[in-house]
Amino acid sequence: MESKTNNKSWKMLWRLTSEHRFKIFIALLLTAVAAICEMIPYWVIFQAINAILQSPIDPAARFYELSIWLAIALLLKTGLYAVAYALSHKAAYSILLDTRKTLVTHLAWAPLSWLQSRHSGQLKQSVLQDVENVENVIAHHTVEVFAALFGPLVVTSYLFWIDWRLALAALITAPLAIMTSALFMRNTGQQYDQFSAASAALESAMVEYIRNMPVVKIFRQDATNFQTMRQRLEDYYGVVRELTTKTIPGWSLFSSLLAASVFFILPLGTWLHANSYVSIQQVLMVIVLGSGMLKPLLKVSRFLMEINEVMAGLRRLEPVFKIETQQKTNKLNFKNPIKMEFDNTGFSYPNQTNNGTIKNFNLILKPGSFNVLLGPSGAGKSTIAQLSGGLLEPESGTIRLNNVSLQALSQQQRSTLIAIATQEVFLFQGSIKENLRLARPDATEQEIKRAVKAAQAETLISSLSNGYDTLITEQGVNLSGGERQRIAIARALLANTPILVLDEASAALDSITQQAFYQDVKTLYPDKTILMITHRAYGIESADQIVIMDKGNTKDIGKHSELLTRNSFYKRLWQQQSECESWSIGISNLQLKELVDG
Amino acid sequence: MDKQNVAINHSILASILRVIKHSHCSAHQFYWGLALRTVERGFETLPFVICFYWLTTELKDTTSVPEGNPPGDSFFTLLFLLLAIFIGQLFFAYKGQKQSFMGSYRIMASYRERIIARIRCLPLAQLYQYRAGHLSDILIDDIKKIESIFTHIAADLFAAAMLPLMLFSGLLWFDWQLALSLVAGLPLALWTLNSARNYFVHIGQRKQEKFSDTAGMLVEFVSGIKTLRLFNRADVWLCKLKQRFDEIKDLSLGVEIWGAGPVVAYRFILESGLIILLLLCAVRLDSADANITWLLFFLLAHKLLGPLLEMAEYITVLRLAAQSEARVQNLFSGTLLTEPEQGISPENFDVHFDNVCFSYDSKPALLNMSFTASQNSVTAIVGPSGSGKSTLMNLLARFYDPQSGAIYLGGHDLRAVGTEHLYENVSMVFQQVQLYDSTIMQNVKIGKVEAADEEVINACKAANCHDFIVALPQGYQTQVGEAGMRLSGGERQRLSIARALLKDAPVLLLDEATASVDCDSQYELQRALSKLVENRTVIMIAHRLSTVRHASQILVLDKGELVQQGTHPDLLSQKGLYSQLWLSQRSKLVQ
Repeated sequence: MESKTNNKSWKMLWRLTSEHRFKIFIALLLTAVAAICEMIPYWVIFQAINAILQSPIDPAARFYELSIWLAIALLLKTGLYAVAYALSHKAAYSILLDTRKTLVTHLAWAPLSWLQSRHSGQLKQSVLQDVENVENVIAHHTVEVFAALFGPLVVTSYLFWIDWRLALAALITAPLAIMTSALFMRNTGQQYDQFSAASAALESAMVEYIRNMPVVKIFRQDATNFQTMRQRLEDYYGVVRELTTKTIPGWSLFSSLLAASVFFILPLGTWLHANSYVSIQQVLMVIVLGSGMLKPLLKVSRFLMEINEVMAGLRRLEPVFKIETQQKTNKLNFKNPIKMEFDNTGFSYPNQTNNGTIKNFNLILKPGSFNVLLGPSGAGKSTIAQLSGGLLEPESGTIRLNNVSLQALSQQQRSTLIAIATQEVFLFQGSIKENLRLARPDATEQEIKRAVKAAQAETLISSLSNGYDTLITEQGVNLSGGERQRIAIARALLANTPILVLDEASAALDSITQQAFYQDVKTLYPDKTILMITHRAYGIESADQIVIMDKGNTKDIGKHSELLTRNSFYKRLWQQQSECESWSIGISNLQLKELVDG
Repeated sequence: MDKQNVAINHSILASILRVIKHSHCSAHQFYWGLALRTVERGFETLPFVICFYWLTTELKDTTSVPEGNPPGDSFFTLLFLLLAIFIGQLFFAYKGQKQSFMGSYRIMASYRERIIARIRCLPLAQLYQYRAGHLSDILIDDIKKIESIFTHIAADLFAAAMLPLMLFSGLLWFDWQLALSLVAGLPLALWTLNSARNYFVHIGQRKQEKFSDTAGMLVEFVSGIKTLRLFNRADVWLCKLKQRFDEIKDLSLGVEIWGAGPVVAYRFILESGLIILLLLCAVRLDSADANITWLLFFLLAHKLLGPLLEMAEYITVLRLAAQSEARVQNLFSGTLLTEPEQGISPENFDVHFDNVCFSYDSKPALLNMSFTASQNSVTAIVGPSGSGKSTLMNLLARFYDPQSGAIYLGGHDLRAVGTEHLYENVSMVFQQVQLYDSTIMQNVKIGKVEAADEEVINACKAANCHDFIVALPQGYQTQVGEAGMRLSGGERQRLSIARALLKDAPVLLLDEATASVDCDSQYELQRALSKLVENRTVIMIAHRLSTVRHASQILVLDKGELVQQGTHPDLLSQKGLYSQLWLSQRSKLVQ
């Protein structure tokens, strides 16, 4: 089964290289020539030994000539390898670039439920680190492993050309080494998995340790936490020590054998020479060349170890590649005013309780109307908001804008018709102005001012040290929840859409600010259709319709005065609210009761 | 040669020694492993010495080579010697690897333990400040790199460096001129490697910065994707990201050029020693005859140069690891909060600020802050954004220590009270004090570890979180935090109120903004809060002035200074920031 998943990863790696295979091919070709050039210095040494032993007529001239050959060979080899590496690196980094670009494009279209089930840190790790690991394979290993395999081949043929018996002696350790590795290292795959598991366990323990440290420290549990972490550290090193003890005998035998050719060449060489089968210089040459010949194979085995990690990384990328990136680009004609209509809309979350489920939901939002959606948590209010924003798609029924289904619209067009602000505010790193302009890059100063005024963020922004240019960063201003919400509301207003959905978007604002916001938004944006989703009733007395929702369906629709007389939920809400308003820290609940009643 | 090497690898060597020093454990085994590995490499050259010996004897009596000799005694001696050498080599390889691996794991285990101990002592503010990912990058990726130096590189590199040194000293003895000519390229080669170092380090850092910058952007992109899609701005962000990827590609190629280029040059220059060797031979041949010892040089030339050639590759890897070590070193170099030998358990719970000043970097955040909050009173802190409210609370919670002045609890300086006793007596309901990776039950129970489950449930009922907890799939046993359920902001805060209720500490630090977000049933929550503040010393950040009308005292902060102090009616009657704030909060209604 493992080989099957590995196969898949290899295929994926092959696919990733598609546009750059030619470069890699040329790099390999150059490597092959360079590997042959690498033989020349040895040939030069061979000739030098010859020159000393046979004393030619002009040995000095011979040595001058040889040094020139050597210089040429070194230059050629260096040059060829340099170009080969340059090409393989160029190819590798282009592949990384293409892969990353593809990955983020896929991510941009990932379904929200998919994203929520993943941790942003992991996705970051995939796009950056897992992809980066591929570089080593393509840039280094293609060239090095090829050279490590091709080099010994060239040497072997040269050795056979010198003397076949000596060549065999040089090669005899290879089968021995392979046998050793088969004997001692057949469990390496399993051991490697064991090591990766221990290492991954330590990593997640470490992440948890760091993240939990502040809380456990404040509650004086850090000693326990520290002990647990220490235990995990010990466990890890326990596994590592055990694995090391197991692998070292085989590994040291393997690496010693790879370098052991000389132990066979030397005795055979002396014997052959003693019997005049070979010359001294031939023996010496085979010793010089053959003794280090197999060492490059160590690189191959190191590569085989490393590749596991790279393949694991590639497997993590797979689900991202699978995300579909289709997007609609159509543009439909809309004539103001726009009416929004929920027609028997239904939606349920997979594998969950009834929380948030809606069924047969019907509602009409008239152009320019102010609508309020009230109800207890879990009633499905936020589902309505997410459906309106196209973040979810209805399972049954439709949502229509002027008789066009919302699902028929492209994201681009939908965002010009409906703006949504939610309770969980997301502000990007950058200035306040940049965050506001996200909604509409070409907004004028005047439009920004109007939106900010309606969102009750005017004094807030002017009180900041740099006003609109104040940076919102991790280390920057510390905006409270309510302050962030006001910026987000201003942003949604600035989008200048005919319809605005506010999903608990002002939940962190105090009642006074909230009421002021309702008033201002009606005065400054009289034509906007507003759907306000809330659990509080402040300032909604003037709403055109108030919808009471529970368990995924509408329970009552009406105006403030109507609901106050007929709806018990609504009545209780108002009652509790007035008590909340009078609350202040430091007075007992009894005092509060008197205060409200009196 | 050796001396120069040390100078060049200064920062790498310093890094290795620093790790050993910080590990506070004996590196004996590790050094022993290095020595054994060196002996192993020594054994590796012995066959060549034998070969040379054979050669000299062979050439001396070249005239009297007997034909067709059967292998004699000397042949079997040779076989025996070679076998002994191989066994010796194998033995030292095994021992050396074992000792160096075990020795380095010992050092690293100890080093890691020191680091986790160090993290435990970091000021909380520093822990909060580190981006969540940043610290774990250091503790996972960087330490991994350091560990690989010790386990996989150091021993190989050391043995690789010692072998040429041994061979070189031997060859010097035979013919010092030829020996020197063989390594003639080394100084220049090392100089090349070294002079490119700064560029390499520089561009390496730039790549690293771009990388972590892009990492931040990616996280932002993924977390903000909903917002981006709602405003149809995902494309803009994609463009930005893709541009970063392009820049990373260019920087990466730069890193490779500055990393691999000098290595290529180093190898070329070093190998040119062979050319110089040949030239020197040629020059000598002009005036004299060849010498048999020259053969030794040709035999061993590659044995000597080979390890030196390999070293260059190690050096690049080592430099990257040294950079990692430098990042870990930062953890050791920061200041820690001073902890008393024996903390003091305060007998009363008056809080007193005496001339406290604090600034972030050089930006002042609090200036000469002095006030007293007496036991069992409610002190509210109000003021515009950035006026220093959070700083004041952070100092009181000892996330930092003040740079001048002092904070007293029950008459004792917080630094003398010690973190242990401080946190025993103080509860916090802050945005930062969040949940940890465990069950809900454990998260509340951490307030009072010995509490029974019923006590926890009662606290949760009082804090109005019982209902949402039992609605969760596994109730109180539901996992929260990164790995588990995502709770809403309000739910998290109610849990921390439950925790504070259970802990029942005499001092309570409260951020009202946290307590009012998402108040699905604010009504219940306020009742929980009212219960929580009874008979406690409460210091509270207030955003809505109406909620602190009944506070015992209100501190009005502006730009880090205490500008007004008093009760609500007092402050209203004064002309000042408080009455302005009050009016602006009220006047919104009558626009």
